[in-house]
Amino acid sequence: MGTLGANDLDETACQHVQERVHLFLDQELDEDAADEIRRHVVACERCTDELNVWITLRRLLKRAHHPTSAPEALIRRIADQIQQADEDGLADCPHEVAAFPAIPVT
Amino acid sequence: MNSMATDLLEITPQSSPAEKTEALELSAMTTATGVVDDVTTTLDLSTETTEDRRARFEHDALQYLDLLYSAALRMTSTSADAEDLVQETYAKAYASFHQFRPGTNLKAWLYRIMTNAYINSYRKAQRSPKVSDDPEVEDWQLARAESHTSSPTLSAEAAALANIPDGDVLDALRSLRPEFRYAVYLADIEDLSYKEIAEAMNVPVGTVMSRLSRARAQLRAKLSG
Repeated sequence: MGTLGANDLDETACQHVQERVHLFLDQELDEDAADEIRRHVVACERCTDELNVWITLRRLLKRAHHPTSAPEALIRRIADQIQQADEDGLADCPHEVAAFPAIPVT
Repeated sequence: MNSMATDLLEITPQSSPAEKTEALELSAMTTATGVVDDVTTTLDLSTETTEDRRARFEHDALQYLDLLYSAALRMTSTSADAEDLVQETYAKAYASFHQFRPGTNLKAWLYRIMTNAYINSYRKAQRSPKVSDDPEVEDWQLARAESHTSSPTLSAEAAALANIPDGDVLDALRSLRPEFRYAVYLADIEDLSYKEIAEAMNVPVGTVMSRLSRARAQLRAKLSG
């Protein structure tokens, strides 16, 4: 632990960062709160390493995921299904409505 | 400042959440009012014919087909299940499309429908051999992941993580509970904001935060353990 900076001695500061690590990496903190995290992290090797683990995890997920085009057969099935729904009048089926209210753009 | 801290600073967010949300909404607005302007801007839902509605659905909703299929592949075990999930999603979406308000967030609306369909089918089938429902194992793994060990251990952990093959990563993702898996997918792969994930999953933002936190801790435990 000899390489830690002075700020690291303050365990509560590390705790503060750990509790907000996902908010910080997901860009959900306001700039002041994010700056507070950055100020601590540049001085604290352990929190830097901790953040790097989470960043690596996210990169892994992105790397592992390959967007895939929907198969032609699926596209045809959906097109047929839409056609069939019109013929059956299912597009006016009211019971689906309450489950999926419109999402407002705010 | 150590070298990893320098690296980290370069990775830290370049834009505020507000800017990110605005950018996403701008792209949504382009879709809603730019490409389909002749349909959307003069749209009167009360007089829209079945043919018009179908054309609007095919134009607006089907553009997300590849996106939803890619997500479904991550959620389900087989490509056949993924196809079924996407088909069901579009069936339900079309059935209630006349209630969708043009100009609102169609992508999140479709994701919400797929989430519900996915979780419902998952619960009905109860076929979850890969999902860990063993709290003892997870608590033990989590305790290990969350214990504050020394920096060299954490550095080694990050280095080891980076070398994990894609297949193992996807297996770990697939082993999470559906709600956790979906939250991680939308956040880390789709880059949706918490607010957008909350809309897509129809849960409060606080629930999104707790799901992400627990899901990532479990992923980390599985991959680092």
